[in-house]
Amino acid sequence: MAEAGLIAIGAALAFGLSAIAAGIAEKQIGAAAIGAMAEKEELFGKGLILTVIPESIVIFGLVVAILIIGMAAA
Amino acid sequence: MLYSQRMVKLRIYVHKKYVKTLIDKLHSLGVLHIEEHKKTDDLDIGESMIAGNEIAEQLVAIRSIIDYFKLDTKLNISNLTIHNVNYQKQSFSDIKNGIKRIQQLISSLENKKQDLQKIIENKREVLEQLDILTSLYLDLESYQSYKTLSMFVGFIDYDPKIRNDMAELTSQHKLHISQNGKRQVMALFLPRKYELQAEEILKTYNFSPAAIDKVQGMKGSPLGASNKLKAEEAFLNQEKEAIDAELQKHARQNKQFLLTSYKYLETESKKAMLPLHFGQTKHINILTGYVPKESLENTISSINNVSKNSAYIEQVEITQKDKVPVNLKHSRLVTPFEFFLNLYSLPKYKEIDPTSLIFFTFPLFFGIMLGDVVYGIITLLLFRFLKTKINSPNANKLLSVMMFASLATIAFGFVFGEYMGFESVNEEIGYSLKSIGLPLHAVMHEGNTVYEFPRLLNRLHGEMELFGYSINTVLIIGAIIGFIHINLGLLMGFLNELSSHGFKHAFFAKISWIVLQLGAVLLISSLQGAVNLHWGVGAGILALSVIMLFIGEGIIGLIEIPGLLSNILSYLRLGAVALASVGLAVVINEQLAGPFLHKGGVYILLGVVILIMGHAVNIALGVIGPFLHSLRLHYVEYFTKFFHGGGIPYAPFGVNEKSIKKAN
Repeated sequence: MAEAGLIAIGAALAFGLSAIAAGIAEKQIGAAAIGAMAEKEELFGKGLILTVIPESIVIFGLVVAILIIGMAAA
Repeated sequence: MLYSQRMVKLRIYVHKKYVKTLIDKLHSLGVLHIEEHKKTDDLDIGESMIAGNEIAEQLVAIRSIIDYFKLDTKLNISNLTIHNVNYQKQSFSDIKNGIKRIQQLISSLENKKQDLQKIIENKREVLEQLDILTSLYLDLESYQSYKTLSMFVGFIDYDPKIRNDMAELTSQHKLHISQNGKRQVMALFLPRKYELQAEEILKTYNFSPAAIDKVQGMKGSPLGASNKLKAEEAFLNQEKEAIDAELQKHARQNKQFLLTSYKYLETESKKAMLPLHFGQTKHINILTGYVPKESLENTISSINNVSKNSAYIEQVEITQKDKVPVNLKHSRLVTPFEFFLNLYSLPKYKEIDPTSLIFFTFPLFFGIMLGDVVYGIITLLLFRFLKTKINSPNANKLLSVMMFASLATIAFGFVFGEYMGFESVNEEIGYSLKSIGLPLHAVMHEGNTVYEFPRLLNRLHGEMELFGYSINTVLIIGAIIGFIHINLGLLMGFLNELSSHGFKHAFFAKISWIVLQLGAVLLISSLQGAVNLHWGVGAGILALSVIMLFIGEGIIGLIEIPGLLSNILSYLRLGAVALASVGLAVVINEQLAGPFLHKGGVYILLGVVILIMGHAVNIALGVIGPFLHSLRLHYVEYFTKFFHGGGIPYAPFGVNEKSIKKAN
């Protein structure tokens, strides 16, 4: 049982920390993208894409968390 | 389907005397995308037509009138042109006279209004001065200019001592003080010889004089005079409103004329300015442009017709340097998906237009991520409803796309057997559902019999063995889709490079990536023992592909190699977002609402509220998340394999219902 708890904490760390990292990365890109959009509205599409690029970090975190939980079940 | 509309580049040489009729014809055809001529030593740019200046003048005049009347030009013009009025029937002199008439009308009414305004303002000034005096209860005759008396009227900071101070100065004075709003107003009359001393005293009470010049010469009580003036002012205001109403009436009466004339002048002015885009010699104008292949014959015969066969039309071969306009052409089903390219960038003329492929992949990705029958139905209805409410064409395209995505969500909901996150129902409901013929089947779950919905794949718990690990099936499906999608992108990149840089470059730059994957897969599976092969074969193919890549894309290509892996793994998000979405739904059902629903009684109500709120939030997340992730997989992972973009939109010269619609 104690092991399951540690696994859960591991999964939470994998997901949570990567979410924070994605947040930090997206914060700056998002701010810059909004700035660019204020100058030129057509940049919305490109701005959106650039902003969601770090989204991968949190997805990888989520995948790793799911794999860790899978380990717990095994 | 896979390419934008095919274009033909035309160069037309026409004598100047036919230019006007030619431009009129081109305008009504509305198919020629005209390329601007850059001034060279040999060929100067054309001159605008002589009528141009006059038209521009009238255009400015009519714009100012439309502004003055605050007419909504954008909406009405497109309605008018498309539906009822044929503005081209009007003649220029009619329009000119009409504009002049309206201008005169406006200026005479506006003058009257300004005169009235001046009188009203004058009366207001008098009223303000009267208002100060009203509280003093002195007749207006008192405020004349006297020969022997000095008069002070104004505001002070009142202190009773002022009466003593004045009495000390002279007994021959009259002092009135009263409250006027928040301030004290004072009138002081005394012989002229004390004027300076009185001024000194008043200074200590912060005296500030009030202007009363406008009331001098008036008679009677200030209140009476003020009431009379107010009545007069009200009357004048009524008159002013009557003028405003008249202006409104004229605005309504002339709206049709103004808007149609505006449209007419605007197109005429465009026509008159068009030769600025041409090249010209002494007698000849030369224009270059693009027409869709299917309109070519019609265009050529029309030009020959208006120029009495004197125009020389040359079909120029399209080269790499040409900026060929891009017109995406798709069936009605696929057209909404052009939204994604409009948002990103149009493909260049020779590039593959991926819209028809996005038509399949976008709903697919979205469906896998959201995948729930009930959610899909709710979002489908929601987007259908929004479509009736929103008129902007771009938003409409997006909503159509989202309706397709909702349909995919419903389909995948059946595949996963998920209904608002429920995979099964309890015995009672399940039994009654089964008895009306639904294909549910009973299973034992934690000691209870539950009825499960039919499904092809268990999204939440389905697992697969891979190299000794058990991994969620949806994650593996995600990776497989990523593998297919990226290689599809690489093949499309191959075709793009083939048409722009030839076979050798296309082969080394794009096929090398596919060989690389083949090598990597062989190497890993032979090392794992999945295939009976020496690991050297895989390693050899891998090395070969790296050399090919180096030839094709240089050092940069080598740096990109790990990127390919992360690109494919990025498609794991299809599974991960799917798990998060269904996970949240299960939490809402079982952990949040479940306990209340089991308690019974009033708690059921609370449970239902939690269910509704929770699923509303999950649907909102479930629309935004999968939309952005699906979009991103296309733009970042898929497009980078083949798409360059930067195409210019096809904007033919002339009346074109479609182009008007697009512009709005």
